[in-house]
Amino acid sequence: MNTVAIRRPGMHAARRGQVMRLFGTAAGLAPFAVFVTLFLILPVAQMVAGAFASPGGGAGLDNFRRALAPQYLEAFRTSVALSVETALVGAVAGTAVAYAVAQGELRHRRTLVITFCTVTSNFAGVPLAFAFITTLGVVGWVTVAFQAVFHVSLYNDLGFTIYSYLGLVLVYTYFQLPLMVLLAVPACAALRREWQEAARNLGAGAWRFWRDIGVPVLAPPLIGATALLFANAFGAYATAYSLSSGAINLVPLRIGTLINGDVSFDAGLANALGVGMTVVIAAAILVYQAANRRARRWMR
Amino acid sequence: MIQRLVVALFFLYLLLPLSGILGFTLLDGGRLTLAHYRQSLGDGEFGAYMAHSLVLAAGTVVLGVSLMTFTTFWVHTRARALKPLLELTAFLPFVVPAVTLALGLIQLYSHPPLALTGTAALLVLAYTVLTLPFAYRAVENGLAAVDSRTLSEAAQSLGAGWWRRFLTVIVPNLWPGITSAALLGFALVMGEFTLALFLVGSAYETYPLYLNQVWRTDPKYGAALAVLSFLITWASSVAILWASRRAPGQMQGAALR
Amino acid sequence: MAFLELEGLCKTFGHAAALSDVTLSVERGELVSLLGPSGCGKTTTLRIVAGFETPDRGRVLLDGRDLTGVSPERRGFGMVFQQYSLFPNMTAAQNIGYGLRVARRPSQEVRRRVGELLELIGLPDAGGRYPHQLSGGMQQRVALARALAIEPRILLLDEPLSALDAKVRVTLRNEIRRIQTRLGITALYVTHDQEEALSLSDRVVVMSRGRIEQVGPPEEVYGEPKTEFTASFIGSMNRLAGVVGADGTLAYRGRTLRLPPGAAVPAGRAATLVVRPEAITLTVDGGPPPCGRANVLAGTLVTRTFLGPVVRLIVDVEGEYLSVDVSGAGRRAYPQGGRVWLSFDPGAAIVMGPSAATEDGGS
Repeated sequence: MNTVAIRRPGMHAARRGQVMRLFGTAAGLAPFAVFVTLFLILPVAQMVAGAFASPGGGAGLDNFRRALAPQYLEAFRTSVALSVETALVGAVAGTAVAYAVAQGELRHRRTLVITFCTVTSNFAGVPLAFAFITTLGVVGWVTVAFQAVFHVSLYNDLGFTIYSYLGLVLVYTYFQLPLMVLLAVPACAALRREWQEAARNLGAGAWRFWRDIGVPVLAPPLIGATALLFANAFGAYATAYSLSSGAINLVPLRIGTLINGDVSFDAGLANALGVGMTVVIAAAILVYQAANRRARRWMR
Repeated sequence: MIQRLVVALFFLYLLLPLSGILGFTLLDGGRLTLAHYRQSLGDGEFGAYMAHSLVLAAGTVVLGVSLMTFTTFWVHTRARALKPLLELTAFLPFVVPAVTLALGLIQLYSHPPLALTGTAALLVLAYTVLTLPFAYRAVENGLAAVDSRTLSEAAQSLGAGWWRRFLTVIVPNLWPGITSAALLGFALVMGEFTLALFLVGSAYETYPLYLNQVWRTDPKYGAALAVLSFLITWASSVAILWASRRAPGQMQGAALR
Repeated sequence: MAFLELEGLCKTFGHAAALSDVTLSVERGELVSLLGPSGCGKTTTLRIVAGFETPDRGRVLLDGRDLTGVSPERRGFGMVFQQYSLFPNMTAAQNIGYGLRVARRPSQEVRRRVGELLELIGLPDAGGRYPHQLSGGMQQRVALARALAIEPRILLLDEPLSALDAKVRVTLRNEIRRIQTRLGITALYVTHDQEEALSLSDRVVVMSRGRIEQVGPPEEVYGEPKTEFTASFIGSMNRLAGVVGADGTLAYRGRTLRLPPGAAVPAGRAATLVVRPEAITLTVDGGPPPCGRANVLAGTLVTRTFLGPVVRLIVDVEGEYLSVDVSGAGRRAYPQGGRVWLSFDPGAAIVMGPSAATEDGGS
């Protein structure tokens, strides 16, 4: 039997229908695909391509070589340090609060705390910087009150200033804390009472329970949340911009100067720094994703 | 006891800066005053830039929510195999902080054929990118919660076409999710600073840019505008909680930093 | 002196009394189930025995020793929970061996015991799997093995089957009974499922509103309920409420019903005759009423429900619906609306004292 014999007119119609359906499906996805390509994929691709472009034309690592200059390496170091420190402080304190409202003594205050955290986790950027300046700035009321009570000036005697690295730590911690609480409450709430009771029945005391079950079960979601906090701080621009007035060497601020300044305009270098920044954040997000997958597997 | 102490300190830490800025704006020479807030009423620039931000917010919310609702439901009903890809794409903006997004957009759209920098349109489009993750989450959660497939098939069995099913069955059922996504988008745009600074600057000044500018010349007034910004965020967050009755996508604030 | 004794346990949560004066003895090797609706105090009782709750009053004695003040981890009782109690970060084998490792048994012994227990619960190859890779029924088997691993003095089971589907539930409950008898372990079993309680227990404790209603072997609580509650909670019951006449019969809706022999209810008092659906004989009308010593009622057939081994018929007797079970074999036709006679031996019925409760006859 040859192949021509089994071709019937209906086949053509069926295949055409299939093609049409495929075409229809694609048409529905077109707006989103075009939008994402133009305003998300292409900008990132542009940045990457620009980073690998040589000033003289062609591809090269010139921009990355320049990005390895001491002041930029220092910027990465400072950004990583700031993000790690505020993520850790936020994670530890946030978990403590989350545990208290999810399992501990303040279970009845859960809704209140979650509402409060939802609101404050969105307080950030320029207004938050102002709030800290009016509180802990040179004439901020806490500064003034501290002087009045202890007869020691935070600024003149202790060398503190809100426009410093320490100031940034305080402000970043402000938005890290409530975010951590929001991320950690579900994780803590998922610790089942049955696990603790089963462990006790089997002869394990509280310490033993935490070592064998509590900590291993809580670790993935909390590590994931900490990674997210890290990414959150690493990419932050507005808060640092309004607090540092250029005095603190952070990667986002460096990029900002390179693309906004007239004198310092250097897109190639900015692109290289941007790629570096994206790689760091992507790594943190991958940790978050991996930890979350593991956590989801256990928590049902 | 220790737990209570920890939570009390937590509240104290988060309330302290707010007390500072409230005291700063409400007290003048030891007297209580609303003068710095009242100042905004006669400030034409404030009105204009607030209007800019509201226009941007409206544009972003409409574009972001409709694009994501339509696309997510389309993938759910007609191209289920693409769901992981959609999920990944909608998650991507998390990996791209505002500075780097601005960096790429400036280089692409500051010259013909698409000279968009300095226009409100580019800002709306960039903000829409930032809304993708939580708009997707909201719609996806909604679709999962109402069992969209069964609903859609039920409507189909009654003879409803795709658009009719989408508009009369799916959208009404997704309403809580859509509302919270819209409110999140609104809060985001009303507070966003970085993209506005780099993409449009003074060409289409927004409320956050304006309050930063005012702060340098008139700190009391600038701080009052910052308090107003907090109030907008607070009201949106409470509205979101009310609309969704649960903790919303917490990542929204990331764009504000 | 019994192996496990509960003496006058009382417990209140806030304002609600969860337990009032619960006293019970359990013999060595016995499986006793606590049966009742949710909120009846059965779980609270179990948790007091486990040591997770402290009674306001009363005490728990094991082998004559007062357990008050002994923490759960020192009681050496194994417990199986409703569901999801396996440690999610440990494999089945690690879960089972956990109690032994806590007790610092040599690892060789732990491995051997775990192997034996996996064998015992019929999952010899599941040791390496994590809880999320096991079905609900398998998880509960592992949970049982974990509780048995420490050779508990008492095995406590808190609705271990209620989260499983019907088929698994039946297999697993037979399994639990088999293992319990084989190991000769003393067990306290909490359930709200009467069929479960009746099928696997040596004795059933019926509880309601924090009190014990009745304690006895399954046949006894089923066949001779002592209270209205027990009668209505266990199995289906028809309640025929009426007034006792001077001749010692019950006036029920214009009929006279004989009371079971030995029933002593003063004349003029309200009383309820309780009779199980399967104790009633049904005759399709067409002849004279069945005669003899039986109580006879006339009625109209309302519905018929095929339940497999039996067919449940609902019969309208003077406006009250009574349930009657007839054999499901034989494919007899029962025409709807047909006139039927119901008859039952007075000895198969039980008299309850006066009661305000006038719920419908079926369950």
